[in-house]
Amino acid sequence: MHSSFPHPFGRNTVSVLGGITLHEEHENCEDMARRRRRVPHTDLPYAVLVADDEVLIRSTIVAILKAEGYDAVGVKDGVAAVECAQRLEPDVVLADVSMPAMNGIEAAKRIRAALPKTRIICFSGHAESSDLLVQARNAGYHFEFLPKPLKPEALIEALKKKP
Amino acid sequence: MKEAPLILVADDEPLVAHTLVEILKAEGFRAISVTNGAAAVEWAERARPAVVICDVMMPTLDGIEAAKRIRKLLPDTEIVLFSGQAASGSMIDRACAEGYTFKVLPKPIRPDLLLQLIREMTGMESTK
Repeated sequence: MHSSFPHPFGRNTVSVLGGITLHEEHENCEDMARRRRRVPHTDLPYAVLVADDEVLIRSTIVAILKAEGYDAVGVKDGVAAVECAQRLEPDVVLADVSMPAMNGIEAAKRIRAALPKTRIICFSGHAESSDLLVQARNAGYHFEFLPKPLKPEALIEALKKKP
Repeated sequence: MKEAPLILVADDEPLVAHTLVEILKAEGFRAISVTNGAAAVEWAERARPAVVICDVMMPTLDGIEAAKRIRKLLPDTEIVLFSGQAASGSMIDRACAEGYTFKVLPKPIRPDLLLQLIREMTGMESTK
């Protein structure tokens, strides 16, 4: 599950948000899952799966999370999120609601069915996405929610807070 | 030595705006960002950028309206609009019917394509 763009940032790394380095290519899901399987679970930082079709947002969130000590990986749509979640069994999934291939709510439902203990936080800035969240809630799915535009400090606070 | 072209980025998602600015700077451009359409017009008039990169769906003043005002103030400034939702496509169509021509790129943003377009618009060569 590599980034869809061979050279999305034009060079290897770009420094963002006060010195955090944004890498052209983050570790992919498969490699991260393999690496984590080699280490006792108690020694591992929280694994966070970030699903957003906007590469600038996805890569920046992953970079912020890594700078905060989390293990993080990004995917570009809902289908990739479900596949990666099954492989990685992350502690937390951060999913944009509005995504191609499969929206974030549908992906969240499938991840919840496969991994009931995984925490799922959806984020959205569109009214129709909020409707999808309400529909999911009415169907018995309770996902945490963060509004877009995303603020890095609010994201970290949400992750540190108990669900 | 000639000053690098200035690029103004307008996007209500700060992660996108900030990261685009850093990417542009890493490529040798000067760049600043704002997070709404009204600020885009204000800063375009003040800073007179070579290129304005503008999301269509933004608060206060949408990207199309901001682009129209910037075009009137700065006819030589290149304007690139980003459109991700169906509603923003309709807004762009209406602006075209009014006689406005803007370069439109789809969302999600492809930084590599955006950089290529901005280099073409400004005549700036790649630093790589």
